[in-house]
Amino acid sequence: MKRFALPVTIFLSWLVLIGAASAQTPGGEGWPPPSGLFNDALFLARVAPFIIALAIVVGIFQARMAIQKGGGDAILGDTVRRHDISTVIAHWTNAIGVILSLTTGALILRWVDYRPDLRLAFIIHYVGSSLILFGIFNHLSRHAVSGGTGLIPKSFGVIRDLIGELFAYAGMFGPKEAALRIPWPKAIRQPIAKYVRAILGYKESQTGKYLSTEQILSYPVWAILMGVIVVTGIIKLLKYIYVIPGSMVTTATAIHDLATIAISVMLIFHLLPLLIVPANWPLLGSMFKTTVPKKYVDERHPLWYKKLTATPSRKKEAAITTSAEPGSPQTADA
Amino acid sequence: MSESIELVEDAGLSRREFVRQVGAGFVALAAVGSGATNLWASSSPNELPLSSGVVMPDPSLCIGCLTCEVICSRVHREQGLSDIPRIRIFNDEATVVDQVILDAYGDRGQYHQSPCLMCPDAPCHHVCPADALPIDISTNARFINEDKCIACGRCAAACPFPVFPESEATNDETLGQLTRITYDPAKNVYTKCDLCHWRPEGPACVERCPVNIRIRQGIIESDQMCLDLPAATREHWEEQSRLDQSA
Repeated sequence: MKRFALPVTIFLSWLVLIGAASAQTPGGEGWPPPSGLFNDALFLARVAPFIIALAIVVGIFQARMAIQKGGGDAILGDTVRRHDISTVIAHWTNAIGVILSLTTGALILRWVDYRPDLRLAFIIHYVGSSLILFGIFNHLSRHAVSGGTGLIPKSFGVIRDLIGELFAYAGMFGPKEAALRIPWPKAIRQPIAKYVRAILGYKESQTGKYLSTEQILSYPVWAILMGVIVVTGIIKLLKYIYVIPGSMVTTATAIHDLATIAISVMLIFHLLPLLIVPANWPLLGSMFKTTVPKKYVDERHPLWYKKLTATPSRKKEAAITTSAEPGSPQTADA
Repeated sequence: MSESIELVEDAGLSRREFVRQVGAGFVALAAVGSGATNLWASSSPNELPLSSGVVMPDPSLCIGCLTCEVICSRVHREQGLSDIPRIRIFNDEATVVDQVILDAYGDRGQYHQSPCLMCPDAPCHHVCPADALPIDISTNARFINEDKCIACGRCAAACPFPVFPESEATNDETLGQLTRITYDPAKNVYTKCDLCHWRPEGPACVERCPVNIRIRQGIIESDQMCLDLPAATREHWEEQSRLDQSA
């Protein structure tokens, strides 16, 4: 019980503060008449810091549990655990938040010729924004405490690997890793593949847990765009509480709107390699199941597989565990 | 079971892990602190200067002549602004027409005027994302800067004062107007009463209302004006709210 005291206390405090935030809306004594749109924004402005705090605290506890119980990459029979359940939850929290915010943002910005009920659109937009706030700060705190995601490139060699992977998507190394499995004639692709390997020094066997496209074209771009959206969104919220110069609000709005366009484009580039490159389909599956097939890891992520099988404790774990739940701590029955 | 326990080491807490956890904890505390500060700050939202006046209609004196709408449209068009009238007249069977009007004009119908009420807290001002709804320095009128307006519609959605259904409007414009702030599709901007803040004479509708003119001239005896310009006080807004709610 003792170890639950602190998280329960924090959670209860958070509930109390949320209650206090929601109780204090302007218009005491029924005057002036309430403005729904204004009050909704004011509510989010008050609640947002507590959402962030809760996300950070949850992230700290998730990281502590992961450190103590050793959850992480592991070979589980015919599969390999690629993500823990916390990562999957954070990813989909962000994803749902982005979809809700983007859809309502497009309606609010009138990208389509349809005028929705603005108040409803903003309520859904604020729900999406809250999910994004939670997902991002949970991700940041969890990985800050546990020591990084592995998605941040550690050397410039990743640029070489990126170019190689893009050529692979283009089908130059054969249809296996090509988008839509396009079977270019050998006469065309073999000379190109030869020069790519020779000039860049690209080798397929250099791929670790994360593809170079993920490390350069995905994670950092998402990080920047989501950072911009969150910061500008917070500035736009703060004006409901503090006096913010009009020019700052206008600039924040303009950047927020531009980032919306960028995120829409980025979403397409995020989904496209997952959908049209069959070699990447196991990665899509791992965002639901947390695992990828061991054969896939051996073929596509040889460096990662080598790391997984090289550690003695991991070898033992591979031998012992056959039925552990994906994402759960390793507690195999003897 | 024992092998798994052996494998899963009790990590303890290294100095690095401790520092990271404490650091993250401090960030969480800072977020809670800023949230508490926000709660304290927002218990008294930003005070805006009260408007020097508010166009306050008296429906019982309205004859539905639409002079106010026409003159509003004209003076704004002359300024290069949207010519959508910022005051709109609606048919209203609930209005009890004053006897002095019936005596002067006969039965011309029952009407209800709906201008902007220059709210003290001006939610329209706060929700604008483009800084296009400033407060005029000389009159403190809340007006829309049409050069900056991006026609997002938030001001109209935030306005707490509804208008009658457009089917009850005396002019046949279909603007989709729901509150005291209206969209102008021709200029792609939103418009609202701005107290004609650039006019030394003040609001054109108050100046040119024929009933007002006759009351000033003593031709019609009335203590009230059809369109008055009292100070923006709580009593006047409450009176207007009562009129809106009874409609």
